[in-house]
Amino acid sequence: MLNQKKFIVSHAPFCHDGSRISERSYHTMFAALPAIILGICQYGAPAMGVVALAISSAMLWELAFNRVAKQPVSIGDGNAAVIGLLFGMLMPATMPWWGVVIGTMLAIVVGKQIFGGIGGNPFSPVAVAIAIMMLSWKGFFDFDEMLCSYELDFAMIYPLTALKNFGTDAISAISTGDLLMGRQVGGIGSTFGLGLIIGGLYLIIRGFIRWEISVSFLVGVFVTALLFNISDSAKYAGPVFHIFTGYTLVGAFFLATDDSSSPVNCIPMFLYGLLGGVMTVLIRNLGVYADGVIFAILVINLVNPIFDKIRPKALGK
Amino acid sequence: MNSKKDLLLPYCLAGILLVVSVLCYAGAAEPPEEPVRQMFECVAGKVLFTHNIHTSESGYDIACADCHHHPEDAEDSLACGKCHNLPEDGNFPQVCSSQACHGPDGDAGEIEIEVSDMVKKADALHDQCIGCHKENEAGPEECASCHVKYSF
Repeated sequence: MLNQKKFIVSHAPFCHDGSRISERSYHTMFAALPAIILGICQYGAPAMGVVALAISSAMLWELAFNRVAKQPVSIGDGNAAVIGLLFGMLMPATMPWWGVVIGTMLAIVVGKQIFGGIGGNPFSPVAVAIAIMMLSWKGFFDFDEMLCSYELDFAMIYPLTALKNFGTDAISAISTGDLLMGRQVGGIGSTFGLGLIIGGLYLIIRGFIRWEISVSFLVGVFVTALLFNISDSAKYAGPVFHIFTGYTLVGAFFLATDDSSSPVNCIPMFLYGLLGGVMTVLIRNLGVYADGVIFAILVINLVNPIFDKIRPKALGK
Repeated sequence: MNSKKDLLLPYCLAGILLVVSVLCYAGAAEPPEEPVRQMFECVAGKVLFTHNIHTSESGYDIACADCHHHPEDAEDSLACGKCHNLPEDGNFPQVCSSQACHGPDGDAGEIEIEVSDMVKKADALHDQCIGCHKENEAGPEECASCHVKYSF
């Protein structure tokens, strides 16, 4: 028994396994590509312009902040590019250029750098930027209005707004298959359910995000939406609809799993994700916003330090 | 990750994407002359009007002149708000004067209409939409069936 080896630590010098923050960033961007590519295919060059400008302006804001704050240049870690990419995914294809530039400034400077940069942000930088933009220019997130010049081969109504205003009858023409295959109105990279799930699974399998957060987030959405649907099926949509519409999948796989604003232990992760899912549906069904994912994520980011108090018992105590 | 060699890729990526975005924004197509869908801003909540469904042959196949009724012999349809939008000075809208139908002082000119006869845009649209829906016994007639309370 005494000879059993449990944990071996060799003495210095240690060798580096070669992994870097940039590796995680580029894999995250790779995982988001299927959803973004479909968005660009649907909405064309304007969508490409929004995504490209979001990534480049986020990197330039980071570079500018590095210069002003006399910090080492940090755009090499790819985190700014990821923030820009995720921000671009949530935008409508017709977002004006100045809206994108202001949004990425909010994400990089207000959401991340003023808290000390990568690893120091208590909220998801993208969620912070989108929330501020939603409250400042709500017209930008009225997808029905922003995309009213597009005529694609599916129902051109934003499913969540239609549901919120007109009940489940208004979304009867939208099938789950349509939602899964991105045949719905929404953000450039937030409509392709299957692509987002594949991207999320890729990140989970490669170990870049924790499955506990994503799965519990989706379980929270499913259970809460199911209870509402059982209570009044004419007014509240079913759980599958809520999972595949709006920002749910982007939130579950890309926003809620942000490193520094999510818990580190197993039980807190489950609680964190579950609360996010529950809050999403509560805001959608009872609040004044058609989509509650962004505000739900900010709420769980806010309570994250409390969840982190739930820790494993220290050995020997 | 701070050596010049390591930063070359991010700098290039940012630069290339910036150029791509400028090209995409600069080359963006203008909205189609005939609207696809229109979002009417109203006090009672926005209304999304499916112009394409109302006009297309596969939709309701409504002729332009059925809604854009004035002037009758116009080659291009005037938008509703061009006429049903009276300036505060009491004159006809600019579009009416510029087409030499109505004088700058509210004189009816060749067309027998007074400024006071001009229906406000909200009333005109309500009459047009609800009237047509009632006449054809199709389409919404209640306020909450068109006006949205929550727009995002």
